[in-house]
Amino acid sequence: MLWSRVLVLIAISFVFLFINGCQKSSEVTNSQILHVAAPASPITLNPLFARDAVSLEAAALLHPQLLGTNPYTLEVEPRLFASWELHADNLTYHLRLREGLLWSDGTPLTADDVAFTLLLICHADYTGWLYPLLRFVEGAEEYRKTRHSPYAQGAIPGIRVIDEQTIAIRLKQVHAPFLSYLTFPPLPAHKLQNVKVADMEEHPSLKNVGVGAGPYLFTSWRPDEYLLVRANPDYYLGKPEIAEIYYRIIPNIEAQVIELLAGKLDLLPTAVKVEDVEMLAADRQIRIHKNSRLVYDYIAINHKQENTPLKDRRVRQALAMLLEKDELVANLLLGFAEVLHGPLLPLHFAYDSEFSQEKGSLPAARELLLQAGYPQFKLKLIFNSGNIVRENVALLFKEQAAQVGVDVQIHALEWEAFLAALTNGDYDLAILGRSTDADPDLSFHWHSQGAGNRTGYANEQVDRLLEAGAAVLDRGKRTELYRQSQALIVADAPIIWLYSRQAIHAASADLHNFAAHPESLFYNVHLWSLAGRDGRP
Amino acid sequence: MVRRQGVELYLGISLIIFLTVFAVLSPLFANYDPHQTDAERWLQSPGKEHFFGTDRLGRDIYSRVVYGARVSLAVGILAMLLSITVGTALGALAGYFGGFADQLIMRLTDIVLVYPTMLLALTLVAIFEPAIWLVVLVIGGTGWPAVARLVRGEIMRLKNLEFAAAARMLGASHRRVLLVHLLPNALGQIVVAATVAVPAAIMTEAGLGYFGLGIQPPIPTWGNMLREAQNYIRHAWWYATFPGAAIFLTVFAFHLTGEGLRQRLDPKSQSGRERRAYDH
Amino acid sequence: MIRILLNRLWQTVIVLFGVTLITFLIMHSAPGHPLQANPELRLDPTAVERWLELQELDGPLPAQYLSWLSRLFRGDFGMSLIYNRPVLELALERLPATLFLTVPAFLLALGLAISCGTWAALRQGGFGDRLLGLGSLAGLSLPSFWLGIILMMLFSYGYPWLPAAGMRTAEDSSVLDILIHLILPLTMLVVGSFSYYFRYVRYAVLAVLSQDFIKIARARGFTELYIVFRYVLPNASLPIVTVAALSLPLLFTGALVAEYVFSWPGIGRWIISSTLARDYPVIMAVNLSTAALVALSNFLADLLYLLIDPRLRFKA
Repeated sequence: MLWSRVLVLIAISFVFLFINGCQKSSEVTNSQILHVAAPASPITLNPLFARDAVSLEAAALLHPQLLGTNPYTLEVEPRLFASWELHADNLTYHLRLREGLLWSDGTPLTADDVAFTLLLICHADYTGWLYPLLRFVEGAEEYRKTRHSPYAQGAIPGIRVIDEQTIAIRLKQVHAPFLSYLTFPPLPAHKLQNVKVADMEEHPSLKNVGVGAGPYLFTSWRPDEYLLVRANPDYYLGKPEIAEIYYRIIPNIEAQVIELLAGKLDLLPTAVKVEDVEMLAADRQIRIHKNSRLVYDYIAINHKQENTPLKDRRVRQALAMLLEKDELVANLLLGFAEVLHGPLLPLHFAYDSEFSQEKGSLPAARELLLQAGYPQFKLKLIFNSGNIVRENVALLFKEQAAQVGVDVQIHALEWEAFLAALTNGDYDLAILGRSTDADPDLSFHWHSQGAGNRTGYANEQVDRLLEAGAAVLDRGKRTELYRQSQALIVADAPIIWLYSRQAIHAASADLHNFAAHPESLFYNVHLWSLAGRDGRP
Repeated sequence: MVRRQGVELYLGISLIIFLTVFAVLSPLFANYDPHQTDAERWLQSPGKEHFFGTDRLGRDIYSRVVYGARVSLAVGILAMLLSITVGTALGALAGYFGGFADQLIMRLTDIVLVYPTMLLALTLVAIFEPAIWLVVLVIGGTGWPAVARLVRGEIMRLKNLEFAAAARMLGASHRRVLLVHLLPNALGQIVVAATVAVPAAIMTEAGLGYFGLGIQPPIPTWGNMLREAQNYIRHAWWYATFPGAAIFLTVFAFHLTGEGLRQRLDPKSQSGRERRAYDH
Repeated sequence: MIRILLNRLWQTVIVLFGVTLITFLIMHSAPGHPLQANPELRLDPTAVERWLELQELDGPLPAQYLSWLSRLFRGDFGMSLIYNRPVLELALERLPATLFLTVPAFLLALGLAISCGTWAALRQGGFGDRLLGLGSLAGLSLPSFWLGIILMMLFSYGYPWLPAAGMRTAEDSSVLDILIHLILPLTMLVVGSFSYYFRYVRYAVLAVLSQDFIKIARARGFTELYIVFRYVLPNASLPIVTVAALSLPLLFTGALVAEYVFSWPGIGRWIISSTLARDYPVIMAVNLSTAALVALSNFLADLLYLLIDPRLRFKA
């Protein structure tokens, strides 16, 4: 009785579903939709509050940058700001927006929007991560401290709207990398100026981006499932070729490849496994793209504990000699990475390709350890479990260290436990990754007061060099200063540099003009096309 | 019915013995060090050298599965012992004394029972960082209510039988009645519960490992091997197949044994309401 | 009868209260703060601090419990630390996908189990019965995540017939497309639940079959089919309904795994990622509401028992 009812129910629901299914409607044919895989759901589409990579990339589809960087040289390039000039004082920038910029609701995008965005970032209630970039703006620090109103109002002396198109920004000290910081997008003042800054992060207009100015406009978003965007006909660089982008959230990376092979995805960005490259490259339907990135992996050395041999520079130098990095990159990453010996990356203009650490040699390392008076000791090495590459680095490191009398105990920790161990300093060595700025300014990680300096690295000489590097504008001089700092930093062996992994993308062969930027997947998305597909039924 | 009896039991028990021997003597059966990586021979298919092939770091999967058996069985058995001990003690107290003690204990079991085991285990391990002892504690700590209910029911039934009343009248203490007269008679049920608690614990441990919250690599467990393997299902079918098959076989062996024991103890089988106690 | 009912209601209230207390205590014994500053993202440490203050994580314990409880009663489950949005809102967004997966799985598994269980019980000890018995034991022993991986390996990659992830290929997918996406996760769920239900149904039917009235009915020469539908199933429906109600945790765990393996955009996957990220308010709300749901469905099962079973009705 019961089961017959159940059967009837099932039958009815299926009939219902099929009837529903017949009403398929579609304005855009499949040939104009780009299906892109995302490894996780965007958390927010608000570019000023996004903290994770997926949110930042999704936000880049909907919001245009004020300034950009060249994908090969990382030099600052025009975006919304068409031109700029630096006054003779080397402190005041006059930045000019393009003519005729429009928000998608038809309102002009003006210097007021930019000023509003800058105020918002400097406001005391702003909880995003951009403020440190603006701390050199005259009066920004004071503005953040005072908090006159819950809204992004008031004035910062260093920020002045000159006319609809032009904004002037004055710094309190010369800061060479400043322009490279202005790569965030503006927010629409006419929509948001009556929203309290504290409520901004949760404000619905930023979740459903009602008003945008980016290459694509928001259509719909199902959390954990997909984000659908449509081409912006008024995009300032021209209407994008591809009508819609369907950003599909698939955390399982094997499933991503399976869906690509089945033709249901057109692009797997950034994180294609190195083991897949050969097989996918052999497929005529698929093309592999790769590019260098501003990220690197390293082994952090905790020298803050008492009585640790790691306080001794010679010990750290010895540890830095242990790994055969070239072999590591060749075997484990199958060559899709750049071996790294210092903090400057190949993409930086100050990078020195000649620079290398002393070649790994076990006897030399052993010698250094004996000199330091530590013939034998134990170290705890932690890494986040599930990362097979880092696991292998750990295992190799343990093997090599054993040969010079260092007993390395490796602990794989689940991600949050790993972060907790890092925060609490409960480790000797930790395998980590980090990203760097487009500008070679190393202050963020290596200045003793740097916001990203977690290891407590402090070297007065380095501090002075880095300050000098940011205070001159001449590229040749800066290059020299940063190379000098790099040499000093590496001599201190504060961390063990490993490699900088490339981004590997797998795309359908139909996708043309795809080129990823080291910092942004979608920087030229308006030029992409699915040309080969038009003729297909 | 009579004809059916025993097949499951014998099959199950011999499988368990077989697996235990493997686990205990794993160094004899593992032809490789389960931690030894080999940069040249990663993801090799099963063959004469590597029976179950190798993983992404060139480690021998066969040896890792054999070592993994130790972890899984140890966790399963320890967690079982924990939940049986706590469950039996509380269940016996509740069933024997009834009244307020019974109310208190049964509400406590109700509270623990309404949490889905896997979710609670995930939560607890996430909060207190994954470690072997914690995994045992969590699985054992969530498994006892089922046992408690079972034992309580059995004790309540037994204490009203004549022999218990007689023992009490002859001046035996509560403790003596419980330990000497009642519990031994409930032993059969407890053993059945134990054989079902082990596979449940093994499954939960593997599940935690699969989600990355179990015992952490490089210690090989079946769960964390599956977690690694799921990223290579297109490259190496053997990577995921063998650890999973090991879980299946072990759990199946215990389920068979449990089923066989149950048939022996109570050929008529129980109704759904009581059976709930040990099939969670 | 009213007394039994009130007694059960009272017990359910106690359990619910205990559940809130235990959930709260578990969360508060958590060491440290959530949202560890992540060195691979570039977080501004001052922003993180300020943000934690906004979450109001401080205050004496009992006061916190009471205010949390009172907020619960108002339907406020707190804010997710990661999404910075109300937990309830996040859950409701994902509920339809989960229901779309679990409800058909539940109906299918139960329907199959009732038919197979009855069939097996009628042929007790026969080949089919023994095969199904062993098969269901094997089904219970299959780790569902492994089954999922194997299914994906076979039917998405080896024989690329079915999609490996998600719920739809495009935003305006037809329902057929969604149903195709449903097949693998559904199979994964059904195998486990079927094995579980099957064993109960078989026992329940066996229990009915051993009753005298069945023998009488048989003696009167009714057909097997008539007996099954007229006597056996109505009498066995009680324990079956109970089992169905009590299987909620099982179904829930199954959905958790199936959604994770097949990237299904439902509550289960969200719970896993929230747990891994230590999004405490989410973990707390989910534990609490599933436990409460199970407690309530247990209560409903008891209620049904009382309403259906005349013996219980008159006993009180």
